[in-house]
Parts: sequence; structure tokens; C-alpha cells
Amino acid sequence: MNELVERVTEISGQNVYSCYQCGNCSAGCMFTDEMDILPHQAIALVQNEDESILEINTPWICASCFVCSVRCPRGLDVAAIMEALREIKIRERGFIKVDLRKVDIEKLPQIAITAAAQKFTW
Amino acid sequence: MIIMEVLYYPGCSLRNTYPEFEKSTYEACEKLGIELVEIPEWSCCGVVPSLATDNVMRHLGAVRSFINAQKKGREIGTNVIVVLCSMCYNVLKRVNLILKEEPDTLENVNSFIDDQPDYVPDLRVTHFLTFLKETGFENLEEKVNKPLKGLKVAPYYGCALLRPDRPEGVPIDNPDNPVILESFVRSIGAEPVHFPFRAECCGNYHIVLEPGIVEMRTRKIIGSAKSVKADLILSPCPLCTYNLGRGNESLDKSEQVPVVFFTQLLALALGGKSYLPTEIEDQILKKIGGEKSD
Repeated sequence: MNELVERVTEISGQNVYSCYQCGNCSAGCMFTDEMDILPHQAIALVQNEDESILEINTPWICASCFVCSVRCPRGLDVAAIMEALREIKIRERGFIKVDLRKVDIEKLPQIAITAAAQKFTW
Repeated sequence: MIIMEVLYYPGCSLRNTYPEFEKSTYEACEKLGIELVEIPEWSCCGVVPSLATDNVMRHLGAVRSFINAQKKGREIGTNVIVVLCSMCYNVLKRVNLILKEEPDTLENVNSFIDDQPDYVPDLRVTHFLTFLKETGFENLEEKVNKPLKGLKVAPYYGCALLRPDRPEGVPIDNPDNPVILESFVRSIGAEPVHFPFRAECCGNYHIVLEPGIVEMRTRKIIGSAKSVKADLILSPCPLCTYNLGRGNESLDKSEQVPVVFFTQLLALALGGKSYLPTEIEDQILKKIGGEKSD
């Protein structure tokens, strides 16, 4: 198995080859306006062992709302695949998505900062 | 009159950002004969569930709270934990179900937390709305002495109460067609209004890095509630409440819809202190026709 596919599978526990590209995840996603490519296209890149997926913004725009996961006719947890793609980057030495020291902790509620820290930092 | 004791997990937001959520709940519970027994030395739940199957570290906050809850639960004779915050509910429910289903994960976390007794996953995590439903919305209706008649309420579910649907048992209602909040609103005498954005995402943690996304999302949600002439948006979630507040700030006064916690309306309907801002409480009382308690 290709390394990208292997890592996504290991982290997410999902079999990306289950996806048959129906696009239901992308149809339900509320954040596609901000995404470089649609969620089902992101999965296609993983299936095609295309590492450029790690440089596009789609997994980072995902807000983990789980609409895609609830609606996938193949039972794939699409949000978990997006998380795996984020995790692969987050686990790289030296990769920084957010510097929490620069976040305005006076203004934002604790719940938002903790959530962002969980999703965007190691 | 205390008729029922349950374990209670407050969570950080109720202690720091939105004390009115917790205070109104205590007020309502006193009227309903429910005693919330706070879990001693509870930890932060982590807010969002980790979806990585190869890393259980992010479950540890929840497990530490379960260990303390387990001890307290045995003392008072209950295994039910009531949670108010949607995000805390989602994490605690999910982690507890995973530990019930995956013995290896359970053994892993138990051996990591080696300064505490093992967690035996026999607790049941319940959202306060489910708890109210199970004790009967009709019983609630009987105890309401100030029905919020004529008040149009837009019940906003957000994500964490409805999704994901795995492990089985996380959603408190049908993820595609939930009715629990509507039933709750009726039981306190108000009128639930249906709006298409009721189960859409507010933008979640993007408020930290991409606040524009949250404004885009919440303006749509608020606009949708406004279009069905809602007086209020009812929220069960501190993060949704904050994000919707940011959405309201970005709108003209005439476009805004106030956001309140469901327990604030519950406390008010039960004749207790709602901890609502005076301006909003006055608007509600005006709408329902004064302070008559019949």
C-alpha cells in the first residue's frame, strides 16, 4: 500500500477505496465555498496516491460538523479522513498551523481556543 | 423536595464564559426536584472528539472525569451523568461508548492513568434534554406556572447533539429530523418555529483562525430564523451561542435575533430566575402578556 493511503487508513480507521465518488459529502458540506477542492475530490486524490492533497486547504476548512459522515451511503466517516489528512501535517516536525501565543485569549472563549488547539496543534 | 440525584458534569464554559447557563439550570432543577451532584475534580473534556484511532491521548480528560464520577456515583447510587454543554456531551458520550466497545483502548487508558483506580465503563452519559425527555415532557408541562405563550422560538440544534451517528448512540435524536427541542419548547408553552438551518454548523472552532467563515455561517442561520419571524434562537451549546453572537454583532440591529440557552427559558417558565439580560426578559414578558402566573 502506498504510504499516503496507509497513513490515512491507519489514522482514520477508514478504507478510502470504499468511496465511489457519488459526491453526497460535497453536496451536504456547508463550507465548500471556501475549499480549494470538494471533499469527494479530496478523497479521490488520496485514492490516486496524490500527495498534493497535503497542500490543499480542504481538510483545514472542514469544521468537523459530520454532515458528510452521517450521509455517506458507503458508511465512510469522511470527517475522520479529513482529520487524518490534518494529522499527517500536524505530526510533521516543525509544522505550525496556529501559534496559540498569538491568539487573542482575552476576547475568545476558552471553548473555542481549546477546540482549535485540539484540531490544529499536536 | 429532592426526588432524584444524578451526577453532573459542568464543563469549563459554564464556569467561565456563560455562568447563566448553569445558574438557570440549577434554578430549574430545584423547581423540578432534581439534585445535580457535581463530579469531584472533573477535568476539561477536550471540547472536540479526536477522530484519530491511533491516538487515545485526547480521550484522557474525559476518562479522568469518569473515574471520579464512578466513585461518586457508587456513593450516591447512580450511574447517570447529566451534561449540559453540547460539546462536552458529544466528547464524553463518544469516549464512553468507545471505551465500552473497545477493550484494548480501555486497557490502554487505564494503564496510562496508573495513579487512579481503573475505569469500569458502566456509566451512562446523558444530555440534560434527554434526561428531561425521559422523566417526561408532559410532567414538565404540569410544573410550568408561567407558560411562554405566544413566544416564537427557533430551536437551533447545531452539530454536537446530532452528529456523528457513530459510535451508535451519540445523537440525542434523529440527525436528519430531530424533534426533541421542539417538544421541549412546546412543553414550556412556547411555539417552536421551523427553520431550515436549525441543524447546520455555526463554523465551530474556525472562530479562532477564520472568523469570516463563522460570520458567513451564522448570518445565514440567524437570517433563516428571522425569516420565520422567530423572537429568539434557542441554543444548547456555548460555542454556537458565542459564534451566533458574533454573527449578530455583524448584522444591523433590525436583522439580529437574540440567542438564549434552553435552560434560561425553562427556569423562566417554571417561575424561577432566568439569568437572562433584563432587556430580553422584558421583551419575553411583554410578548407573553405580563407577569401573570396562571
